[in-house]
Amino acid sequence: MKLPKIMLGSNPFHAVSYRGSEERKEFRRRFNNVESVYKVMEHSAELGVTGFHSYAKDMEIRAMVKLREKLGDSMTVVSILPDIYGAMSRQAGEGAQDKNLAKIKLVLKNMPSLISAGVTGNLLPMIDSILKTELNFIKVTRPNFVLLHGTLTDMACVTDQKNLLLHFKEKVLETGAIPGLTTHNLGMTCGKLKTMGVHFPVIEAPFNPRGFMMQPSIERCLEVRREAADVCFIGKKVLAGGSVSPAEGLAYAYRTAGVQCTVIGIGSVSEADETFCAGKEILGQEYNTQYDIEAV
Amino acid sequence: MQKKLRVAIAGMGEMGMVRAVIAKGLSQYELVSVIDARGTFARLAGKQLGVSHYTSYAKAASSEEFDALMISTPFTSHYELGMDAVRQGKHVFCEKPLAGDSRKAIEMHRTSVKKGVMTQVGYNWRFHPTFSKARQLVDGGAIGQLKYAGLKVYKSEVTRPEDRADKKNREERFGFYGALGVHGLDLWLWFGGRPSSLSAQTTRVFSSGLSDLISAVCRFEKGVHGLVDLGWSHHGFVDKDELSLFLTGTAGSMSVNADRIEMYLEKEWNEFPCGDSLIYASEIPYHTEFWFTHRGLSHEMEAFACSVLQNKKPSPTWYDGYLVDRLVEALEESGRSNSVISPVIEESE
Repeated sequence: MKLPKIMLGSNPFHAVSYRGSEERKEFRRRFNNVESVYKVMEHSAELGVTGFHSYAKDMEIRAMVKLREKLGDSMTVVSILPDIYGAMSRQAGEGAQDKNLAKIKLVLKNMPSLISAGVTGNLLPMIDSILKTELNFIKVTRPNFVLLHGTLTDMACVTDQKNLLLHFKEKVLETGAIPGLTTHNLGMTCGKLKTMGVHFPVIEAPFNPRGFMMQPSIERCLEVRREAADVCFIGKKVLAGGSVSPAEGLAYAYRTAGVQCTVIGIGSVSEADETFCAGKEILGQEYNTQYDIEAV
Repeated sequence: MQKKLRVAIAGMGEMGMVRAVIAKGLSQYELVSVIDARGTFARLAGKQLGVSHYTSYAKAASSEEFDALMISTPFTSHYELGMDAVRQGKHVFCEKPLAGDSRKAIEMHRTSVKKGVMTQVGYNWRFHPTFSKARQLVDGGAIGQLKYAGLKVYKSEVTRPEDRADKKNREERFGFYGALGVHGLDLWLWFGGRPSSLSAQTTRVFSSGLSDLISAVCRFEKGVHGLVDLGWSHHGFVDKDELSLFLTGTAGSMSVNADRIEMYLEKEWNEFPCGDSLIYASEIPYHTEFWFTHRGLSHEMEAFACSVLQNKKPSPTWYDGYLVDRLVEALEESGRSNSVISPVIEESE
């Protein structure tokens, strides 16, 4: 499976910003329809981007399907699962998105499968049911890679849930995609994976010159990156939440941290121009590199 | 070998699970037991975390050796659990609000002082990079002598009649205060000091117990005054809670929220120029052994462990918890009576 050197992230599409509430509101207004999300994706593709990240959110899924129709197998879709609140809502059978958080929590609290897991102490049937629903939800995009959400990765690793990680891996492999992890605690995660004897070929983690969300420290994250030679790293939070320019962030990720790939959320067509042109300048010929990743 | 804080956690709801996961990730902690009156939750959490599980604090305390208790149960049980634990000589971390009742809160605090144990209350916004940095700047004198502290906390949680605010009000979750308001009020007091008088206007939009919208003007003991504007019935604050402080001193002003600090200084101060400065949260170094869900939580738990293990005074203490509970009562009382209140504030000891 091909993993491109530089990919389009999706945070702005679901109104995530580290700049402030004004930008979040602006994103919410701007990306309130499939067409506006698709426009940024399509323009990125015109700039030579072939990798696209997506959360299991309705709008992104629909834009991705449209892009898939245009680009076919030349594009790579990387899905992050689960979108936790969306997944809870779907589990409760109440549709997909924009559910009142409190209501979802209430549903979750009363979820029969959770109670059953409480009786048996075994979470896997519940996880299996969630995964099945979520993988089914995203299958229309034909994902090439499916990464476990950072919160769940970190929780599973710190509590030594080897079975949960292996189950996720197995279920993703059954769909024909390559499984991977995202993490906010690279230092801990890689150490734990080693101890548990679990391997994932792709790990996505923050890498930026400010050390934003690089835990436990910049030095340790760089060390882990160097040590894990059999893992393909995707750098995220490359612009440190908007604190550094694309040129500075990308140069750090590729040259200092030495990650193979990066993913950057883009909020507009002009931002796509700035970011991916900086990428072309820094990477030169490498801009079009794609890594062959095999399921191990 | 590093000494660890042996801890039990009571309440395996969302917050208790988050605390337990962080405790597993921080080397200062050794998670010993989890406690939840709901047997299935206790068992599930215990098995997933690889620790013993109990359905009551009493059972856990009689069967296991631990130095500290973290209380993540609904606030109505904080008093009983907290008092039981401190009486047995346990160090206790308690989620906010401390008791939701100032008489109980001051009793909890005084008992803990008498027993010589460390106590902390879960006002974790103090550990968030921007608010923590703002406090450093104010303490360092960046904006001169503080004269004004304004607080705004807006949420869109109870915006329709069907949100049934009354059901999750004082008895169940301490209303809007329990949802986010007390975090803001703690920050307000952290900067402003103890309140000496206040006048509030309060409105119940959909709730029947505590207020949904609260506005007040307050004078603090050290001469600072400020406005507070709180509410969970504002519309459109759907993607992130709005919690911000506006601080004015004799040499500058700053506005602080979870995303950034905007500062205006009358003259150059350390690395900050005269005029405007902007510091984003993402630019403030925040490193921890294990980060989970919110910035601030890991540092808060590290601070509690350090207090106990190194015998340092914790912060925020249960006295800070008492002050917030007292302030909530004063705001509600002033709003109800439409009058200026000078709340009687008990001394720490």
